[in-house]
Amino acid sequence: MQECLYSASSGDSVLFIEDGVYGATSAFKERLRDDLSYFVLQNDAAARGLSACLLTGQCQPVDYSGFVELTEQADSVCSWF
Amino acid sequence: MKSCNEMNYSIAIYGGPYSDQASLSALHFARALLKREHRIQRVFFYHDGVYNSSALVTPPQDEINVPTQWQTLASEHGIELVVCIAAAVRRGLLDEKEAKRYSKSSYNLAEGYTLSGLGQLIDASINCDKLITFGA
Amino acid sequence: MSELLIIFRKPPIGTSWAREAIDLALVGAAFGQQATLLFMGDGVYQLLSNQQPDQVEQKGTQAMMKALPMYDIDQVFVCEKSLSERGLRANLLDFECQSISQASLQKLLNSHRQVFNF
Repeated sequence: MQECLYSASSGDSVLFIEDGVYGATSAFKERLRDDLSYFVLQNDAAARGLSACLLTGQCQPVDYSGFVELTEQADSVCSWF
Repeated sequence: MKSCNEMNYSIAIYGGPYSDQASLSALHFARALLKREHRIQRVFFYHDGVYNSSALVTPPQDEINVPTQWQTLASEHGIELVVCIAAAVRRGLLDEKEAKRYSKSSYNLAEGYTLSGLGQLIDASINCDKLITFGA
Repeated sequence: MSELLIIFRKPPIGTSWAREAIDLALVGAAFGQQATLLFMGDGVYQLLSNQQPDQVEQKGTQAMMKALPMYDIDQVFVCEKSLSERGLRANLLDFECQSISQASLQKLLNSHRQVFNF
């Protein structure tokens, strides 16, 4: 997460998926730069018991269709794992 | 919901089934792509992702069979399932030809999957509109 | 401008990521793609000199790294911050590489459509 946020350019979108969704919890909200847009895959969050009250409001929940939409809009997509 | 521009996608998977979520995430993502009327040209399996291509995968009855799911999706939608030959052979995933080449008594690459070089991953990144990676 | 950017973020030896990432760089070059390499995070450990992979019966990636110029791969960058966080300096590294700031690193990512992250 650190390396992803370090490398992102202003205006980029960041989607948290799989175990990455823990990065979308309120505990890490100080790390989120305010010049990026954040999304969290709700299927992965729900699977891990991360209900809305545990997630930071800065992350907009999306489903797989929303995931696809984000990739449609992006010039290039890079996965950080 | 129909997307405005149909695009040509490829997917790379680096995680093995059952030990890693990568392949399942990629399956969900692939189905969502098709629902939005995009085309998937190729799924490329690299690193431990090559384990997805084993014909001998035998999960308990109440769990999904990941290789079978890919086979079904691929045959229904004309998707190539390409497995990195170097990564696969090292890990004991062989097709009939490689089994002969290395004098092995059996082979285990599932039907619908093809062993090929890493060049196929490079090719996908050059020639597809998007290459989406599911890591491990 | 280079076409292909490969990011190395995992330490060597413990897993096969380093080897499989450099394999991809060489194949990319063989396919006529101008490749740029970026080492960041724990991936900077791949650059340390005096690695003796044979101590644990491995081949390591040193020989492949040394072969990079033969594949016309001469753009090798290392994240300055990753080095300093790990108490490393460029003179401890085995390879010619250019250490870069966050701004240049972001520009590097931005200028490539094909990015492979290992």
